[in-house]
Amino acid sequence: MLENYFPVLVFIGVGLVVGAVMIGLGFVLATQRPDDEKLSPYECGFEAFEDARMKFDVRYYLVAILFIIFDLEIAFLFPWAVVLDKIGMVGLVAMFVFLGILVIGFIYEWKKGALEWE
Amino acid sequence: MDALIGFWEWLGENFLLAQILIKIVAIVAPLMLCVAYFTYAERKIIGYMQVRIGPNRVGPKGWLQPIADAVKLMFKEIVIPSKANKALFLIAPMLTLGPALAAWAVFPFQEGMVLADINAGLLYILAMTSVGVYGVIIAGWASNSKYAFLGGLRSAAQIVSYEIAMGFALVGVLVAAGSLNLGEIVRAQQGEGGLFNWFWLPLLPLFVIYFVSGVAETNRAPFDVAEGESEIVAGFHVDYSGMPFAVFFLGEYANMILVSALTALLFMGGWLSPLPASWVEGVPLLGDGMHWMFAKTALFGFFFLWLRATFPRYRYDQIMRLGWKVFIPITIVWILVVGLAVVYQLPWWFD
Amino acid sequence: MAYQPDRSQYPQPRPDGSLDIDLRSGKYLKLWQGPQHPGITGNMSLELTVCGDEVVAGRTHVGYLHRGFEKLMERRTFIQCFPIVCRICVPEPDFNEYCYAAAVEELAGIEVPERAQWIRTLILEMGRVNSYLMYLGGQAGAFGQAVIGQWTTYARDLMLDRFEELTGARIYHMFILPGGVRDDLPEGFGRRMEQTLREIEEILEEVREVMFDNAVLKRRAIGLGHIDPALLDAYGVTGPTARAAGVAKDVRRDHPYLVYPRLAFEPVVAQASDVHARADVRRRDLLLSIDLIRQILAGMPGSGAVMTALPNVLHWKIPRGETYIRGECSRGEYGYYLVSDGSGYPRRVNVRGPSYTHAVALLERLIVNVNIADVAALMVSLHTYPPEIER
Repeated sequence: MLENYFPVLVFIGVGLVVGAVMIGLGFVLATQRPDDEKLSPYECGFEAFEDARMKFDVRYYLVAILFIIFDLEIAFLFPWAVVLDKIGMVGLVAMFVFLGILVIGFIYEWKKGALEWE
Repeated sequence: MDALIGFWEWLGENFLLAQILIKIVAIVAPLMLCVAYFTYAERKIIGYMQVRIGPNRVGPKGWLQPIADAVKLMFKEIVIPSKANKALFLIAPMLTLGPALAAWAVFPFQEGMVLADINAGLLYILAMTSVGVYGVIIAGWASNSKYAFLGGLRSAAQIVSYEIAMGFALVGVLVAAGSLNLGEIVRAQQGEGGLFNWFWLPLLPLFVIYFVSGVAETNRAPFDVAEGESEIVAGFHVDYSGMPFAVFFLGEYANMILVSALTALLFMGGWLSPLPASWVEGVPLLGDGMHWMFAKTALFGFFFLWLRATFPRYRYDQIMRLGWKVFIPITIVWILVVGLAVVYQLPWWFD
Repeated sequence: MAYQPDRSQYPQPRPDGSLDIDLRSGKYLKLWQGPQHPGITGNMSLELTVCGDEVVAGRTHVGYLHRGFEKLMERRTFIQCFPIVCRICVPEPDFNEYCYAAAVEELAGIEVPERAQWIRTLILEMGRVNSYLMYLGGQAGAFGQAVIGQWTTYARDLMLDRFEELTGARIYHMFILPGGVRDDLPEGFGRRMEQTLREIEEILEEVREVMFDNAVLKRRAIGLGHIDPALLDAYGVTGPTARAAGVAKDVRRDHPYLVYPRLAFEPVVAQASDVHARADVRRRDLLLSIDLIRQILAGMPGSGAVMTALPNVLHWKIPRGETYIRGECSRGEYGYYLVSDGSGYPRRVNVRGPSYTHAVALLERLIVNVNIADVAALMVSLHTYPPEIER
């Protein structure tokens, strides 16, 4: 059973190595002639006068938290979905209740304005 | 021939890793070729849509253009901005391309033709496409440029938002198919009805949402605000050049092909022939086979290009609104509808 | 959906009217858009202060393309100035040629033959068609719809073919000279022009379907960048931007010049005064120009001189005086103020282009409190050409 997953592991390794080799190839083949101006970050032609790693909008953080909640819900739904035809109506009602709770939370977020981007 | 098969089996028994590597190369090499020629197709098709010819100088009818582009990018200087975090700056593109390739490990190209026939195939694909967001966010942070930083944040928020809609759409497919194995999902779509037996019909809203979310996930037009050139220039990869840029580029296009192929697999019956099985049983070309998979993927790939040529860009708040307030409610409702249909064994699809 | 952000976090005005923006607070971010930025038209830069996704303060910076035309002309004879003026505005150069020629003619007391006047009107309308086609592509491009720009570029190329046939040049025609025009229409020009106009009309119909009826573009453009009609005079707004606000200002009708009094037309007006209305006014104005070209070709006298005999232009002295010549170009009122002190050189030339008033003061006002994604679209919607902003 588990040996089926071995090729997957190898493939992930190959995927990363392909990227690494290509970038390495770039370093080998291309001429590198850096200078101060060339290495300055893009700022529309002006000097970058402050650090770009500034505070950012809290809404991005909010999206990330909401994503974790919903992604977990999806992870719960996966095994349920696979066996639904075996557990029948009982399973469906159970999941109705589960999704109902999720939807209540969703409506709460919506009304609170957490989903408003502006 | 027998000697070759004998050698292959000997290889599998004694050098399993070598055998796997050969298989992987047999997937990755054509895939990379597809990615290269997908860029050519994009330039040609959009060119014709825009009353011009597109690339036609390198090789006959411009056929060697992708090769020329690759060679050019290889010989371009790699500029790493002085304020950037060098290690992360170089790791980010690999994190975009790596998962985009690795996701193909569980992808069945036709009956029995799959590298790793694992039961959690769909879960693995979802995991791999999720990892791609790290490349974007690390690139945005490592560049240490405002435009890249903003682009990275926007892009990341957009990708995770649409991932939820995508995940719910996948749950709908799972309910209908009753398995996480991609091969099983295709076999669940088999039947006398031909293309009317596929999941696109009972799962029509999910099908549309899945594909549109896929477009948003890959940051393609009309959801390309992260790279919207009239706003924040090129977004997270504004400071990339040469090969690191090329790797990002390949990752983006490999992801587009992956989304197209998955849409074909999950909703359009994968390698199944659109004609009823009893009509075309054993008929070459019309019967089931990998060519159908390829044709369906190409169709969805074409939709990507068509969207780009036709649509103006959405504004960022419109994108977020579409993802959270339109797609997620629709998918939740439709999952319940499909659940009821499965429990009551609605004929034709779920009996 | 209306764009209604929560503005509680935005900077508060100080007693003196300036905004209380402390960049160190981390709430605001200074972002340059231009001069090296794909979302800016030509060589300009916008200094934006953004809070979240929204611009809270904006400054326009010009001066990246200052070539000093007005000053250059003071050191050139009247005829030597002639190849310079068209370079002031690249996409619609003919207006400069016409205004300059008309100013010189008025001061020197030269009569222009009637047929030359018809041909001048024709050239100006052809230039207007070009300019609007370029605008439509740019407007769609600012919204991320690249295909329109390619279609209109193709349509513009068809018109450039007619320009080439008539003047021998595609971009800088240098066709309208003081005293008339350089040459008469070639044989069969009207027939080929009709062909071109039909093709352009077909393309415009497709542009209307794909761009103006597009749901996404409507959602973004309708209601964006509203200009209060009461502000038009204060900001010196003219042309289609004013007409989109419901004010039927059109120099062609209000202060007729050339042969416009003999053509039948009504200024195109819209009421909404947003980006969509401005684009739509320009599209309909383009159709009007096509109609005017047809009227001109039909109503033109069959033959006649196209040039008056000029004195020896190398020693051409123009009597002392000053004049202001105005015309309606595709962006608004275009004017030349010319002063002659009786020598062989202009004493002062001042070009009044609509781009400066639109692109500096008005734009600064419009980009406040809009989403950063819409800045480029707003800028394009005012239809400014940076080379014309700074002469």
